[in-house]
Amino acid sequence: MKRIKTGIILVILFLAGMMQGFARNNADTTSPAVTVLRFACVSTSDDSIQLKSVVSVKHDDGSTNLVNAPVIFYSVEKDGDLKIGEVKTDVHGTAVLKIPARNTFLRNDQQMLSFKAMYDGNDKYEASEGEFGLKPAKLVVSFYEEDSIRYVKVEGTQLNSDGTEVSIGAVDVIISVPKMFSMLKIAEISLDSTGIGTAEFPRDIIGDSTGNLTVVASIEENDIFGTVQGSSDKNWGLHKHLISPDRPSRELWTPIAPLWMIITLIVMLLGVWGHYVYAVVQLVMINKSSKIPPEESNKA
Amino acid sequence: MSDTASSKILLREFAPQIEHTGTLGKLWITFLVGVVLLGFFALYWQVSRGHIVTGMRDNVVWGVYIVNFIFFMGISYAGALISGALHLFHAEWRKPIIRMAEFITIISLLIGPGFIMMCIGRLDRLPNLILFGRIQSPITWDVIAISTDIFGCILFLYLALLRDLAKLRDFDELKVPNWKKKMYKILAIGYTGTPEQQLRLKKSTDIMAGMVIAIAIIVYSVLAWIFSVTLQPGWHSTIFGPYFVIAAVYSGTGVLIVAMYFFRKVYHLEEHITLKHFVNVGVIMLVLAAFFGYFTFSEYLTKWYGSEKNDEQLIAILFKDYYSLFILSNYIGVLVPLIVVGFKKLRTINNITIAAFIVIIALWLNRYLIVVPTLESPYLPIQESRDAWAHYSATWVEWSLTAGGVALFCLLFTLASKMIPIVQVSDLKEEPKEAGDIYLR
Repeated sequence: MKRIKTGIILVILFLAGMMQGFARNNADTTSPAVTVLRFACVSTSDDSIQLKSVVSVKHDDGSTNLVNAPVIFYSVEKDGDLKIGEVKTDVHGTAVLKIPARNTFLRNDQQMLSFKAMYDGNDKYEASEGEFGLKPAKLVVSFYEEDSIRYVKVEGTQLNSDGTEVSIGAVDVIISVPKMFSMLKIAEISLDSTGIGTAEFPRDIIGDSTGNLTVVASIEENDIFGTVQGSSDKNWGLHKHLISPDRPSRELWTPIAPLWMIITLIVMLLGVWGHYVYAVVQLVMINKSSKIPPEESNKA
Repeated sequence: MSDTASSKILLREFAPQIEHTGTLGKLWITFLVGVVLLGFFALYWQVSRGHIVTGMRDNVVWGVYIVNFIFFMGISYAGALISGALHLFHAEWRKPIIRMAEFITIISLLIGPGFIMMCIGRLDRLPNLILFGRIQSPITWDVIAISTDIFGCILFLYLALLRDLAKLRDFDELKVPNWKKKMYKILAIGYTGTPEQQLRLKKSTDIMAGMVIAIAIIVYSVLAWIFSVTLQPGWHSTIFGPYFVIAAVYSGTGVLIVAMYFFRKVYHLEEHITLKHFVNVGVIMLVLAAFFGYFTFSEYLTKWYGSEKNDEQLIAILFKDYYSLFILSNYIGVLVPLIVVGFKKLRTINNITIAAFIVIIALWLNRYLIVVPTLESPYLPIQESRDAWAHYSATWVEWSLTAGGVALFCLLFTLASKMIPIVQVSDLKEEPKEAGDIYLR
C-alpha cells in the first residue's frame, strides 16, 4: 500500500511538473495597451511618395503588429493639419498611402513637405502618432558598358514646389539587388555635384532563368530627402539553372531520382513484399488443404 | 491431457471476456466513445475553420499532431519487439503477453498516420502524393514504408490469431452472437491443425516475425530521416535513425507494461501474467532506458560542445523555456525505470507499471522537444512575424484530437479484447501434446 501511495505521489508530481512546463503566461491586461506607430516616407522613381506607417502593440515579451487599425494621414501645414486619407493596417500592421510627388501640399520655410500619421486608438489600445518631413526626390537608374566593363549610373534630382527638378549632390546612394530574403548590396556611391554617380556592376550576380535582374538605388533615411528609391531591370545576371542536366540529384524537381535510390527502393520493396506474398500463399494453401480429407492431408 | 481438452479449459476461462461486458466495461466504452466524439468535433471544427484554430503557424508548422504521429508509430514497436524478436528467440515467457503486443502494434499503426492527415491544410491535394509523388522525397519513403509496415503487421497478427480463431470456431460452449461465430469461421479459413497446416503456418510466422522487425526498423528510421535530412538545428543528426528506433521500442515497452497491468486486473489474468513477466519486460525497458539515455546524452553533448550558433540557441531554449519538460523527459524518464527495475527490492508490479507510465509520458515529451523548439529556432531568422506566431502553444482543438486519439487507441484495444481472448490460448497449453504438434519442438 505504501508503495502504491509513493507511486501515486510520484506520478502526480510528474504530471504537475509537466503542466507547469506547458503553462504559458496568459495574463490578461484590462488597461489599454501601449501602441507604437513607426512612420516613414519613401520617394519612388514613379514620381510618387509612399506614406508608410507600422502600428504595433507593446507587450512585456516583445510587440505584436496591430491588424485592421485605421491610420489617418495628414499634411502638416501652417494653417493646420490637412487630412489626406485613411488606410487600415494589414496583417503586418502596415498602412501605406501613395500620393503624387508633384502635389499641392504646402511646404515649410525649408521647402520641405511634412506629413503626420495618426492612430486614434480605442478602449483596448492607446492612440499613437508619428511625423515625417522630406523634400521629394527621385533616383533614376540606367546602365552602360565601356571597355567590356559594365556600369550602373544613378542620377538624383529633387522636385521643387514649382515643378522644376534640380540635381542633388553629395548624397550617399546604396546600389543593391533584391534576393529571396534581403537586398544584396552591390556598391555604395556618392552622387557628385551634378547629381550623378556610377558603380561597376559585377558579373557574377545570379538573375532569373533568362538573366534578368532588378537593380535598386536607394538613399536611406536621409535628413532632407528621407528614403528615396529608384530601380530598373537589366539582363546582366547569370542564368539561373533550376535543373542541372549533367547531375541527376535528389532535388524534388529533378525529372528522375538517382539510380542508386531507385535500385535500393526496388530491391527492398521486392524483398519485403516477396516475403508477404509467400506468407499469403501459405495461407491460401492452408485454406486449400482444409478441403482435402484429413487422411490424405496427413499423408501429404 | 489432450491438446483439445487443454485448450477447452483455457477457452472456458477466457470465454467470459468475449461473451459479456459488465456495467463497468460498458461505462468505460461509453466514456471512450465520448472522448472520441469530442475528437471528431474538434476535427470538424478544424476542417470547417482551417488550421487557424490550431497553434501551428508559418514558423512552427508542426505541433502535437506530428508528436502524436511519432509517438503512436513508436509504440507500435512493442509488437515488433515482443512478438517478433521474442518469437524468433523462442522466449517461452512471452506467450501470455504476445497478443497484447500485437494489438498495440496494429492499433497504434492505424491511429498514428491519422495524425499526419490533421497536419495537412489541403486534404483535397492528398491524392497528389500518389499521382505526383517523387522517390526523392522522404515523405514518399514514409508513405511507402508505413503502408508496407501496416500490411506486414496485419498479416503477422492474422497468422498469430489463426490457431485461436480455429479453436474459437470449434468451441461449442461459446455463447456469442451468430455473426461472431461466422466471423471466426470465415477468418479461420478451414485451419484444423493438420501437420501440413502447422508446418505452413510455422514457416510463414517465422518469416513474418523477421520481416516485421526489419520493416519496423526501416519505418522508424525513415521517420527519423524526415527530420534528419533537413538542415534544421537539432534535427540534422546522423544518429537520429537509431535514436528514434531505440526511443520507439522504449515507449512501446512502456505501453505494453501498462496494458499488461490493466488487462491483468480487469480480466483477472493473475495466474498467467505474473511478476516474472513484468520483471522480464521491465528488464528490457531498463536496457532501453540506458540506451535511450546514452543516445540523448551523445546528441546534446556534441551539439553543446560544437558551439555552433544555432545549436547553442536551441540548447539555450531547451534549458530555459522548456527546462521542466526537458528534465522530466530526459532525466526522470530515464532514471526512474533504471532505479525501479535496477534495484531488486523495488521490482513490484505496481512500481514497474508506474515507471512504465512515466516512460510513456517522458517519451511523448521527448518527441515534443524534438519537434517544437527546433521550429522555434530556425537557421533563417524569423522576420516580420508576430511574436505569438514565432512560438507554439497547442489549442483546445489539438488537445481534444490528441485525447480522441488516445481514447480511440483504448477503445479499439478494448473492443479487440472482446473479439479474441487477450491471451493467446493456443500457446498457453502446458501439457505434452500430440507428437505431430510442431509448436512443441
